Amino acid sequence: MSLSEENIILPEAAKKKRSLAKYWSFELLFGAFLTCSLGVLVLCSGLLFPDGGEAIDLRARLMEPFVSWQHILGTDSLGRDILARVITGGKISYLVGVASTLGALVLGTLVGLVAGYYRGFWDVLLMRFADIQLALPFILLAITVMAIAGPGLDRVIGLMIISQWVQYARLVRSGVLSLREREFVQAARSYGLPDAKIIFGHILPNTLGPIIILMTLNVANNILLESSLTFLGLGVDPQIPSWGGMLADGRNYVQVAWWIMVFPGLAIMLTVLGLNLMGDWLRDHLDPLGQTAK
Amino acid sequence: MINTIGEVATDAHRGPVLRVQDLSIEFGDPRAPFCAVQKLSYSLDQGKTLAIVGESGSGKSVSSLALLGLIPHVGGRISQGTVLFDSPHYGHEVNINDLPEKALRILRGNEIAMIFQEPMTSLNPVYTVGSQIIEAIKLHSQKTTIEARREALEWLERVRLPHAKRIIDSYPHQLSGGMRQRAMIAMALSCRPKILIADEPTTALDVTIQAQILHIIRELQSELDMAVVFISHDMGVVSEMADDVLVMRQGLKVEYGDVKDVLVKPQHPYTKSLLAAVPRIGSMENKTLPERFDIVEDKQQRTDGPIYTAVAPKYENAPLLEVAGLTTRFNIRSGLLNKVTHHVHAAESVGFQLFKGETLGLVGESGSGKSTVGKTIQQLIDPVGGTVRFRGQDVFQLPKAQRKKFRQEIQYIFQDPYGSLNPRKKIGESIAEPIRTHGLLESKSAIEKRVKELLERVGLQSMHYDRYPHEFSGGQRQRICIARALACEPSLIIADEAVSALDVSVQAQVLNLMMDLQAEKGLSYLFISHDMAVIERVCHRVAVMYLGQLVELGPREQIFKNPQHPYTRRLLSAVPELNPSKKRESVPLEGEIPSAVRAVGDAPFVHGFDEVSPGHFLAQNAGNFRWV
Repeated sequence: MSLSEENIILPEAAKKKRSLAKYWSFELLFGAFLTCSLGVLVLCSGLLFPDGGEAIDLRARLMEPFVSWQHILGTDSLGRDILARVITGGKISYLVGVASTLGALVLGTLVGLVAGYYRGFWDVLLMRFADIQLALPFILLAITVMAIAGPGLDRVIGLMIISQWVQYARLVRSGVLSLREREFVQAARSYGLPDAKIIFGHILPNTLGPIIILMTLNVANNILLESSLTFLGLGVDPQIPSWGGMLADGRNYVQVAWWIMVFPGLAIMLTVLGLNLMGDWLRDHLDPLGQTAK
Repeated sequence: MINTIGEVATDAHRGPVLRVQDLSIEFGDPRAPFCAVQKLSYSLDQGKTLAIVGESGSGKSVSSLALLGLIPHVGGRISQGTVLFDSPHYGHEVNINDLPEKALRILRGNEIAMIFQEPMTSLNPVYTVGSQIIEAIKLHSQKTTIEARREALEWLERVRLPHAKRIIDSYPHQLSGGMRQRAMIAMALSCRPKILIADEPTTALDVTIQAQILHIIRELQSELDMAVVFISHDMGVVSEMADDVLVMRQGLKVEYGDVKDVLVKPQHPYTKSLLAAVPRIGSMENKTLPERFDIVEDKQQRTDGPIYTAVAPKYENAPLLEVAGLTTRFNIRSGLLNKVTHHVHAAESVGFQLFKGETLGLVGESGSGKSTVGKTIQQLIDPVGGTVRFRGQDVFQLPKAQRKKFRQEIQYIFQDPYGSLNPRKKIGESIAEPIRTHGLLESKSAIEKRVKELLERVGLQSMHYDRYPHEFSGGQRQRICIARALACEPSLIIADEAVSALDVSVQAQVLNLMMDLQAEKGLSYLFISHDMAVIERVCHRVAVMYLGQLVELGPREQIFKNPQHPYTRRLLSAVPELNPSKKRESVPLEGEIPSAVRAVGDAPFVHGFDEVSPGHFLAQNAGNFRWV
């Protein structure tokens, strides 16, 4: 028996695990299926429903679902086809949900990285901005912005970015604060790696896990937030179908016509579920330790 | 449920208090279990100490958790065997494995107590030390709080904590590591257990504090006539503490017997090679050069290049690195206006020279500022004053852009091989990064080829290029860090406790590699360590640091044979010796290392140096040195 206990050659099994098969899982398949199929439908909504779900058929008001091929998911109080509106409305919801989340993510992550890595003046300045942001009630901010600038899709997205970057900034900053003291970061500094490469090459990849989780949750949250803004009349034009707007519409009829509310609600749920599943999977597999972390 | 296997111990005085028979412990999937411990048997007599020795993963800690019935708590199973404990509570021998949880709780802490390695985390930070001891006492007796408090105070005095009356109402963070470990011992012993399990109780402590703690454990052991299961990886500590030794490797018992037999005349090849890898203080007498460890290395497995013999550095040339008056302080802010009220005087006017091909050992205990000196030279920390001249150029006087060159020529190796590699980067990329940063090689293929060469040079394989750090053991990771340092083609490597986290056999291998590289490439090392034995083995010259200042600096042989400063002597005498027939009797000096935190304006006195013999410098105020 020799002393060299370090098995210099790792077992073959470790190598096999690196093949592509390990990347597949039910989580990913189901999540990707949900997200992709909904996405494709939404993107093709213009082809499928050229009228954009805005055609009014007053003779077919409040038609129940699954009774007519023409309106398979029923109609709303103005006789508009629910299916067409759900699919078309997805465009707004997807756009708002994804764009505002990505915007907040990029802004917040940058702020968090700078504040956490450089500390000192920038940290104090940026984090006080964050505190001010947290102290402002969202609805107050929304009403103010809309009153001055008027409602519109771009303003809704901008508003959400402004209200949500703080979460990312705080999350990233707290991660960076501990990471910058870690020895591999110090090692990188010791061999003269420039700051930008340390921040983006060493620190950022190690903060991704929680960011991804927050991101998937935020997409869902933002779709709902857009609906509340629309409901309050602060969001997008009520004529344009959106899931949030449909929920608000259906609220009045929930006792006589449940379908007006349920189908857009279902669409939101499936979207969020798909994104969360994919986010979970992504977090596990971005981490080389993912296998053991599970 | 209580088993009465075996006879009730009639001879209550000297019979074995603990008998472990054929104990096997498994983890994981029952169909393909991982056997952490296999068929382990030993017995422990009252008042005796059994040391369980082994390297990480040998199952030494897991086997001792079984004595407390804690295996299910850590997710394992006892697949076989018995743990028979002669319990005073039951009045007869009981099998720990068969006892229900409720019965185990009576035994835990009361009759079998445990102390852990990390004194920082084993006390609850939100309760005072006293209330935690009082809780332990009240749990196992009918005493009132006042009685329990009196007893707790008594125990704190018994573990020789100064100002026990004050400490009983202190929170753990107000105490030093050594004081916390004493408080832990007081808590563990407060119920007068029959068996004390000590799991690496001094590994996290400084060597002078370690000597104190070991002394207290030994003294209280004979006072309470208690049996001790002492788990350690440190052969010196084992030699000092144990009556019997059990050597474990990968869950198996390798050798078991009297401490004198096992450590002096080891039978098993593993024990022999383990002992050969232990650096022993005094083994380098009359040798001026560093020496490789004579470890049994399987020739087929050795891939890290040829063996070199150490050569003497040329002292007549100009020094490679010249540090003078280096002072680094950290600010402590407090108060309403957040003003700087105190400084941590991490390094005060430190000066030394380092020559090409030389290893300078920088030795000291925690808080002595040895790492700060290394990090300041590496420009990871900005100094308050002083100069660092590398090849004659003052590093801190140069504009930022030109300093980059020094970050190529001076490389740093950190203590923690787990922390110093980015877990999300393939190791090949980690090693390639400094090459790209300094533009040493242009083409992608040339970089990859160079990285693969480096991997092979440090004893890994080129096919490891695409692996992630978590796929490697601690020693392998430290080899990767060495490869990354070599990638810059440095002339100086600062090794900051680079082998402290490694098992002793791996430590010997990594040190051999470092010494080979020095002889091959003429590298200089600034070798920062707390381990005197390692320092003696690898260094040409040694500098001893205490409270931010050098106190003694000289050729290694001089420092070890003829230490002049009282602190150096103290440090040397505290190192446990690997000689079981010679148990240390003298009481180690009490006291803690003073704090380097001082109020603004209260800078410490900077002492000068006398040359006591050629090249051997001693602090001028050595005669006034007092251990506070």
